[in-house]
Amino acid sequence: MQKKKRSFWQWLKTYEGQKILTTILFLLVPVTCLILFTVIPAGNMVLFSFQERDRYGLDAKWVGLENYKTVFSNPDYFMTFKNSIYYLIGSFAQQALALLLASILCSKIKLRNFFKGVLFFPYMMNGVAVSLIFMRFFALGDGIVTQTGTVNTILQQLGMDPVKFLSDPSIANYCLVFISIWRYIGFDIVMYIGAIQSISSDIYEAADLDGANGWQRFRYIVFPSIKPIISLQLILAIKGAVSVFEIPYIITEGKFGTSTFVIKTHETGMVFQKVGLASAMAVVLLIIIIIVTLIQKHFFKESDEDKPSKKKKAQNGEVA
Amino acid sequence: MASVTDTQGGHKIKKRRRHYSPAQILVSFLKYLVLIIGCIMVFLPMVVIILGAFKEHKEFLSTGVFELPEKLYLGNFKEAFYKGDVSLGLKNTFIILIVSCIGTILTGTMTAFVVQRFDSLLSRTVKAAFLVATLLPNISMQVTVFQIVDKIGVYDSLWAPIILYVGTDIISIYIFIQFLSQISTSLDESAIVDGASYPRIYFSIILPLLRPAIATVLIIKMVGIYNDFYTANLYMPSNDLPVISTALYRFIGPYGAKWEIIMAGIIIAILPTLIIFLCLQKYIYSGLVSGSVKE
Amino acid sequence: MKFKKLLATALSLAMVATTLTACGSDDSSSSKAGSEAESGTSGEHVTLQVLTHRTDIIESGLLDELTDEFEKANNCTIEYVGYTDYANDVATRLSTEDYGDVLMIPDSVKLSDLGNFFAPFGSYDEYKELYQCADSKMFDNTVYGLPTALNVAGGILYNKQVFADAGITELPRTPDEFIGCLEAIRDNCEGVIPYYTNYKDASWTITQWQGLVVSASGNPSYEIDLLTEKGDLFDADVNGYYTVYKMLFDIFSDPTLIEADPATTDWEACKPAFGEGKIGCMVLGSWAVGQFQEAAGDNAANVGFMPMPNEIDGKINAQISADYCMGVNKHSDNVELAQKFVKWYVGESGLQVKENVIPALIGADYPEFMDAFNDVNLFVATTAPAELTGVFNTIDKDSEVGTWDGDTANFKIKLAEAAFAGEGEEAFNKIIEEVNSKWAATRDTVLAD
Repeated sequence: MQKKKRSFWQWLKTYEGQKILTTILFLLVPVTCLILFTVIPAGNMVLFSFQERDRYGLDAKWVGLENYKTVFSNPDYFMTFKNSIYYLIGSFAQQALALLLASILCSKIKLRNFFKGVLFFPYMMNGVAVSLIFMRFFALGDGIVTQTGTVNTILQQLGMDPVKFLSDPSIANYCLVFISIWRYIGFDIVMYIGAIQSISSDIYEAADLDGANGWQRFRYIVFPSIKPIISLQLILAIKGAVSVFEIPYIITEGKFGTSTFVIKTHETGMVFQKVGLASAMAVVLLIIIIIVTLIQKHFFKESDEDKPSKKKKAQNGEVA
Repeated sequence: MASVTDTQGGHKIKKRRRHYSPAQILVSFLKYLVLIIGCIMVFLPMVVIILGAFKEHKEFLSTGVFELPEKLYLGNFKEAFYKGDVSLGLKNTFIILIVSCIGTILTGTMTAFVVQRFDSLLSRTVKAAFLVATLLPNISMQVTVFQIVDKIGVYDSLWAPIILYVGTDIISIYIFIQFLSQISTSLDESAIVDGASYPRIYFSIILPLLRPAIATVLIIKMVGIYNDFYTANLYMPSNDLPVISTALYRFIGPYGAKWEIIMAGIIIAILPTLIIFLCLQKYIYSGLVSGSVKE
Repeated sequence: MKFKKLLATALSLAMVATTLTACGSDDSSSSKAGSEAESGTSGEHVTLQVLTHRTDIIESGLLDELTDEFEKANNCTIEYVGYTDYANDVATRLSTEDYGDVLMIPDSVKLSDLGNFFAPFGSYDEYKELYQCADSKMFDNTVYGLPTALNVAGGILYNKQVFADAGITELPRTPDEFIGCLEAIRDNCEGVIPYYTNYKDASWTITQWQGLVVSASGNPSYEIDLLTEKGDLFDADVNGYYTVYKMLFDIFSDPTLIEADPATTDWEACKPAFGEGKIGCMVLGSWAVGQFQEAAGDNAANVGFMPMPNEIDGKINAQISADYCMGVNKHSDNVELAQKFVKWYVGESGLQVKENVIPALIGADYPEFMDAFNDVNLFVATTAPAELTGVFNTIDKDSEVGTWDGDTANFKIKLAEAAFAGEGEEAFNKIIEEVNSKWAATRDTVLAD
């Protein structure tokens, strides 16, 4: 016995033993967390989505595909995806605008860092603060109980009629999309600047020799080199568009036709405590996002083989 | 293109000063115009907030939104900071920030070390599990995560967001793995030759080498946590447990009649971000870019 | 080397932070631990934990002030724990065994589940002699909670001065007359909003309209009849849902009667504004009267409260119903004392008088504002027969009609937003038909079971 024990300790001192001990020690916390907060919830979510259950889970019933049927047949649920289209179109506009601003910022411009900083800063701002700022921005007060907001004050000073920005369903979503662009465009600009600046200056010089103008330079040099970044951004945009939550939740609480799928899921699961139905909604969202992610991975594999592999080779060469 | 040479010929300037054609001037005018419009769009919503925050209640109600305050009245800031729980919110946010950043870095780098450096069945399985987990969107699982957080008894305490920020941060682990895979194993090997143990290798070689990745993760993490509303709103509903986001959110009810105080609260909430942004601008840009590309 | 130092500082920081947070969480749980430890030694001085939604009167100190008397008489300490988002937070605590000793019973607990959470008080036959609405939290003839106060479920808050200025001398007796009053305010009073929707906070403000429904029907067994007679929920020929929500639709459809932008309203700001005579009317329960009187200050006398204007056979009707009911945790170590406390709180604490609300104790005096209800037929809804207990709620929940809810897909929100958009009668009929068919389908399956 003793002999065996000693050999166990000896074995621990070998690298083989250390390896196993370190593996177990180092992975204990992360793997526990992974199981607790990712594996079990994901499993439960799928399980619950076939059940009818409340928050207490007192008398859960199996209902088969009933919850999924509800999600797809009840317009109250699936119509909230319609609003994703606003955000999707908005983010396309956002990408175009970001690309324009990034190209401008990459040319010879005075105060470049100032402009870049100002345009980027909203991205760093607290989402609740942003929502409150825009509640004020778009408000239309009655002048009796509530005050009129910024835009309507300007409109009134210009002699125009005030607009119900947030309570007119045909405008409200555009306002919310505007806020989303305002908040996130800085990030895209910085991403594009990074991509544009990584283009080697040799190519530009060659283009200059050929007498290419600004547009041609963009069309034939910049655009092809940053295509992977654009495709990444677009896919992130789709992911973002289906999971919008914070801004409409705070500003309109999803009223006036501005509810989103995540707000609806939150309402179903947390307020009405229909955990089963909410889980089914979450699974639907999950599937959409997984599909989009797989598309993204696919695109990136292609571009990985294109360019960055060269970089890696160069690095290896340096090491050697 | 021809016109360019024409005009250049027209003006005869001998010095080596740069010379612009009308077309170029127009283009650069347009460039500045676009940038300035962009900046106005950013500033416009905020100007009203800044002006309003310095007005007294009566003044706020009686003056136009673009009118300058009579004097720099600081009472709103005081009230927002002390009565409006913003101070408590900031305190809680910073506690959560510090603990979860340290937690993320330790667990993230340790996982990356084991998964990337050891080639065993276990480490390969774990790596695969984490890769699959990156696909799962957090937001859609909240309904079920909520029940687990509730069951382990951390609901409505500072531990709930901390555990969630540390325990569900798969992106950071992913960034660390990516980064570590670009670091040559020759250093580890020479340390093994010298007889260093694995934990020692981790602490004295791997951790220091991962510094750039740690900086990236820290920046992404800090921006994310400071601005996160969802987690705190859901897991810490108690009034005495605000973070900065929920403290601000709860302003809407009781201070709805006093927007000048809400405005002061907004400014207090944004100020730390602004200061950090001004100091670390460069690192923030590069951190966010490298973080998201690797994602 | 430098990095090691950094790491060391980081680790020590982490330790500090951990102890800090540990202290922080200790703070909030210490009181709990204390109460458990003390209550273990029964017979001695005990502490009861009371969960309540009334954070306002905890903060103002009123509760503690009133409770002194009870604490002295019973050698105990009452510890109040307030929650702003009471229903949700307590629902979460209910999934454990630790949910205080005494608590307001959240409506999310089904009547049939009451016995799983709360200690019984006694039989309904005994309690109905003592308290009005003692059947609010009752199952199988057993009472599990007592109402802390009663409400006129729904009514209309109006500013007496504004009504006088508009030349209105008599309170309206039909929905049309009410709208006529609003029009008179619009035409005669400059700078007054005739009806304030509070729509920014619609998730709860819109549910106040539901309080008018049974009053408008004038029928104490209205909701039972809906089940037994299997009529449509919205029936133009029956007083009730149709009457109330048609009135909502008509008012909300006329932009000159409401504020400029229903997305920009402000609950806190509307209270003082109401006192200053800038608002004509709002649909709210009688619970709001006290709050508005307080905000009105010197103008408190202008705060008026009237019943749903729907005359039936020459009589105006108003339903009285229970506010939150207080129950006792069945896992409590001091059930008896806790129940004694509940009876004290409901009947003897004097809180109801201080707050100007209607007491549940039979024989106690009604508050002054109820004088306006002297000619009104006040009634309490009939208790459902055993086989129909909770059936209305089950249909309501399963069909997702949500009569008391204000979620974004709720029919009230749809009606209000169709009205704001000026979509007219057709949209109204379409929405109520949709609700009717959802309701009928679920009712038939539930009743068939």
